[in-house]
Amino acid sequence: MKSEELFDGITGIQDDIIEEAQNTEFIKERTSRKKWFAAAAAFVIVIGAGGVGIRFWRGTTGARSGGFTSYAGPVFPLTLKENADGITASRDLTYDVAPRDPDGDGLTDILATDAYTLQNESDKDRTVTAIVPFAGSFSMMKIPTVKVNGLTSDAGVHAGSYNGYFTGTAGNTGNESTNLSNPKSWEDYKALLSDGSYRAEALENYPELNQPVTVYRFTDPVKPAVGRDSATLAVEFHIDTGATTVFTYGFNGASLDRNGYRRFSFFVPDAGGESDSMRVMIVLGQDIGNYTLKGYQDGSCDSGKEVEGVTATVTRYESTFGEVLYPLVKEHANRYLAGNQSDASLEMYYGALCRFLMQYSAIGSEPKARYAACNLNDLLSDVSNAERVMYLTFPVTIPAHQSVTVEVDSYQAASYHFVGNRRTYGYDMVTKLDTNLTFKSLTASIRNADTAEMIQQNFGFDLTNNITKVELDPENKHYYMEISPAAG
Amino acid sequence: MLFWRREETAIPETDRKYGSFCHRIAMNILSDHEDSEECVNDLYLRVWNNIPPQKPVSLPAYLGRIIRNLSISRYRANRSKKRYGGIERMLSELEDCIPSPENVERAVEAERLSESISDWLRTLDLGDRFLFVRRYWHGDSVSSLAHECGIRPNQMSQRMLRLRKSLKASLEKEEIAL
Repeated sequence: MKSEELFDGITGIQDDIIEEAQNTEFIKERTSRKKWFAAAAAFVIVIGAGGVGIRFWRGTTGARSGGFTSYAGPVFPLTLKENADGITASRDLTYDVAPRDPDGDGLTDILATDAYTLQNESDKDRTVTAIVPFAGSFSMMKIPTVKVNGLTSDAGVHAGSYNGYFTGTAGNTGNESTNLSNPKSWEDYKALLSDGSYRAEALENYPELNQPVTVYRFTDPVKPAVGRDSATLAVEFHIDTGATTVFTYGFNGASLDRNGYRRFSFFVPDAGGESDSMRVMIVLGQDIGNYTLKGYQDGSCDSGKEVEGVTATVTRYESTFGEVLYPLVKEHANRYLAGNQSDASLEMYYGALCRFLMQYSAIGSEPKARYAACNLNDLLSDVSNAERVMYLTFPVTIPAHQSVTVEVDSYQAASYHFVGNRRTYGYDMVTKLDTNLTFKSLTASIRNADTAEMIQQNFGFDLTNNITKVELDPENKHYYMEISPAAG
Repeated sequence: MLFWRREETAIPETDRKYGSFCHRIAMNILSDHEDSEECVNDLYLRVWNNIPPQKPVSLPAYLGRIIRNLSISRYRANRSKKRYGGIERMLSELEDCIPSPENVERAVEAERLSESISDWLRTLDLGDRFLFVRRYWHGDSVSSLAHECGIRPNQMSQRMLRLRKSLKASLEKEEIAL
């Protein structure tokens, strides 16, 4: 079987790659309290492939509360940008629970149809901007569809900031900020959205990054024609850390210290090999001055492993930060978002990165240790994968003393949980969070639940007795259900 | 060194240091405790018999390769009698990486294939390389990797799919047939 040949081929991959994976781990050990940069400097003194003590700082290690192992976020209620005076609403949420694949390894997204009737009780026509929040990430983004009175509405999409928080290596321990911690429950969303500031920022324009920068672009890397190996090119220099910040894109390894030493390195691809990534160093502030290029046998860049004939063309030019970032974002999006069939637009992705840089990077208002190495690939990965609340906006005109219907179809990602070897899926909704509408009627339905077993819920469905539509209390802020593929 | 000196503590020491690593790889492939245990025992016997004269540069890589080979041999011998979920799922996923026959010309030996896969792995960033090796060399499940990364399994599945497609494209570009 051909896949077995491939399996055998993977078995024989080179030792240093296997060693690298052995020596790579998520940060789990406790670090002492330090200033964020000092902690970051210690944290990021890492070597590229082949060295011992590589840190791979992806992942959440914050303490998890009870409930789901991974929480996907609830269905949020529609709200209006303008005041809701004279407008009453009713809401019906229908979950279409498709049969599960028992051999599948991933979560199941289900179709949720959130249907509203907006009634204008006043004597004047009202044209309002409806806002529908939905939770998700750029990497998996599926924009809900909206219909007003049965006609598809072309809604605008606005992305909020990362909606979680940063934590240390063993839960939230003060100033440590090396890991992401996504929302764990609807109450985290409640804390995030209650005062309206998150939504307000999401609907603002993205920041423009007009800072002047000096760019060093590395092209046409070469190495001796001695067969396939791990030849690595490193660029080394010193900076004044108070005057200069260096971001990189397309590099594999980095070594930094608090005294301003910098070494960035990358594996030199074979000539004519797979399309190479862009590689740039972006310098904000004072230029870096002299630098050296040095070739090494492998990514450890260890003394004694230098290799002659490893070099690249370095082009220096001046630009603005935003201008340099755009093509990098485009390349990253083509590589990582296009394959996922994400609906996220390039402009949204670019804007979110700019906002993220101004929030959490070394030049941001709340710099995080996680980004102290200023690696744009890492920042882009986090921007891509970070959970956020996004907002659809669209106009709705409700004539006086009449009503309109608004229907929002979205694929709800499941929150998931393991009970022994059994996988369960959770779906929930919130009823009053960040909405100015008063719901005089609230109902929920579940469809195609023949192959599902209800584990727990507060909706009131009774699948055994075929009670699949229920009336809900609009004053109850949160409804949830946890289901599992029916046993056998 | 202990193997080289033929010291009796070589195997217990290896088991202490790498036993769980080897067990995990075998279990990830076979999903069967008894078969995995037997494979690990076979591993130690082989290593004792092979070193010397062999002198592996990287012991974990060496052990991992042998346990992988022993595990898949066990799978091939028994697949008609038993269901080995771990390897079957991996092989199913790896189907995505098989180059299209109309795009490639030459069959290659296993060593050349391993080289090509290694070269492709080096083009990846650390995170992708790490995840691919953990999934398809160590055999860790998508769910466990997702949990470790703090992302949803669906996101991890998508990331793995992208990597498999990238490997396929790389193999096709090198005109490698399987």
